[in-house]
Amino acid sequence: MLLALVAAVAFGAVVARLAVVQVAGAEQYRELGMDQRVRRVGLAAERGGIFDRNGLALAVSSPAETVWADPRVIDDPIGYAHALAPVVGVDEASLAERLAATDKSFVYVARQVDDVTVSRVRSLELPGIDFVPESRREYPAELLAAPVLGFVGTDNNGLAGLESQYDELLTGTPGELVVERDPRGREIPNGNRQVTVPERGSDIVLTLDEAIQYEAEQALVEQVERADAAGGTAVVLDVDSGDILALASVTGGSDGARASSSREHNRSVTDVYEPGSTNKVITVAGAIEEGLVGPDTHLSVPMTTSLGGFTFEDHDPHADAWWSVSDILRESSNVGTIMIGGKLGREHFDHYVRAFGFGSTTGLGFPGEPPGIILPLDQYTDSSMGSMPIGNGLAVTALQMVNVYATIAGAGSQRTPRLVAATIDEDGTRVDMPASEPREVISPGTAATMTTMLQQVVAEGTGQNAAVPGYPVAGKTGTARKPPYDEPPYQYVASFAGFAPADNPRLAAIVVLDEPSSAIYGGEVAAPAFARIMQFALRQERVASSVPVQGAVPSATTGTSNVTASTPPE
Amino acid sequence: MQTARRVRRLVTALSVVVGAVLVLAVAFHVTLAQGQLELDQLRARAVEEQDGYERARVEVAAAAAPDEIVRRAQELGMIVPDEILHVSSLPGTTAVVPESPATSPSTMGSWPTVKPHLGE
Repeated sequence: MLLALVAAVAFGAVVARLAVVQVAGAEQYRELGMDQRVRRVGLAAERGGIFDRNGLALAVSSPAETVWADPRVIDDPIGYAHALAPVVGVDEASLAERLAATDKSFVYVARQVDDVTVSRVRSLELPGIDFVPESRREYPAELLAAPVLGFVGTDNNGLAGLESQYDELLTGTPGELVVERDPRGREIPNGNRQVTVPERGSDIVLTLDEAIQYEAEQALVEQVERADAAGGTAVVLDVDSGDILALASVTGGSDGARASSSREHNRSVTDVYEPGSTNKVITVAGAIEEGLVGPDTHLSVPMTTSLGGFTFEDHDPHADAWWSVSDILRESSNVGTIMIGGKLGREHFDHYVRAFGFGSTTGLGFPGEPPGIILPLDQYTDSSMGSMPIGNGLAVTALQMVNVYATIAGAGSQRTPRLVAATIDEDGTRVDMPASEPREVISPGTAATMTTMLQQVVAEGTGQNAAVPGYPVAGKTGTARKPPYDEPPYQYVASFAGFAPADNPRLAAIVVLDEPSSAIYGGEVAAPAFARIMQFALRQERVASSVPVQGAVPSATTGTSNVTASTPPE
Repeated sequence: MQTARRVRRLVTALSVVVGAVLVLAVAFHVTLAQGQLELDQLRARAVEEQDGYERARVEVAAAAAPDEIVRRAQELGMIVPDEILHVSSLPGTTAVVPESPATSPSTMGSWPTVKPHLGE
């Protein structure tokens, strides 16, 4: 009887305890168990790609794996670190510290490692070490358009260039993996497994043409080397749409010239320079638009002139010359242009430099794009109308300057330059970005007059090296001394900006060389690169020749190709 | 006696049924686990194939890059010509239009060397 009583009490105690655990404390113990077993792993979304206008990949993501660890199940963090560190290439001491953080359930061991490393880590068979898929950013064309594309950080977030500008678009929506794992970190079969699929980011289709971009970079590399310059930049624009077909940046130096890397400036858009004589088109166009002068208006142009205590002179010595406005532009006369600027007046001059886009960003939205440096009208000095009409005392980007010539080429109307043509979302739906509406800056008549004069610059003036066989070219050379101006040695910026075919403009382009040493004039160092780039771009765009070529055009020797010729196979 | 026999038969039958149900339950779970395993393997394979496709895509893009094409062409013995000549059909035009002045000096004399079967 007593035994039965004891058994009954014991059994009752067991039942009561069961009731406490499984009924009263069910939720609490269930949560404890889940907390032990359930792992939440973030699934990174694949970043959208960046493509040129023909669909060639410029930036894409490829699968990679990230090695992670659960410190709570690692009983020998030092031993683990000793085994893993040489395999994954991380510092052993810092890895051991991370693996010893038992208050955490997830620590990174190494991010985005290659397949060989993954295999070697797996072969170690270390419990608590696992892998999570991530993606690694790849730039298949390497340095092509690198400063334009920019780069991403370890977490695939855009840090520069287009990767930064369009980071939100390119970044998808991350997902999540919820799994149950045993104490050794292995997934429990038939356990709770939930996947929230990540949403891939959108792709971006650029207006860049990979072939034209490559040719622009190669031409610029050769010319920067040939001229022993500090660097250079080139831009090619489609006149009708404002599409940027090439945006090249090159870095010079004692080791030779090379295309700029993603960590260097996108010079065409972010770097300002004093444009020099390429700016004279604005002075002349403004005066013609205001009806103050015409292409055949003649002026008596002396060799020098003074304004505000400063003396301005023409480059080539000459006696007082009876020059037309066309002559002044063709010969790039500083004094003649200052005289035209004097007729235009500071108010009108200020109006036209701003109407052509100086003093404000182009609307491209590229990170780091400056508006340029233009004196406010109320800060003009007595000498301002001596320097600014000839392209000194103001600073612009290469993109702003080429857009001036694209405006003239576009019958006087300016478009906002465009770098992104379309986006493609995760479902493959393409959304085209609309081209901007043109905005009239000067009348079509003035634009046509300017085109004729600029053709003379190439045909007979300082821009003869910019000629492209088979196509009429219009453009202007520029050579500007960089500050400080007072003492030698002086440094210069040499440039050529123009468009072709002049009779039916399709493309505008600019080449700017920074601190050329072998020669300093835009007509000598920038114009030949412009010709090469423009010819290639016109051919690439299937623009038919419009000028008959009689006989072979003598080729000006500008140096040897940097490609080593090899004997063709027999 | 008969009642006891009936009860025993009932208990035996019940035990058999319960045992059979338990065995079926186990078999069901085994099938479920096997199916889950297979599903996991298929998922993993799908992910592998997708990864393989994306890696191949990067390889194709790298192979199509201009620098790579130039490098490969040079490996095959191709050379950049000293002068690039374009054919134009515009009336009044000489048949060939030389490359712009920025390139190397004209080597029209080398044309027969390049295309001897076309003559001078």
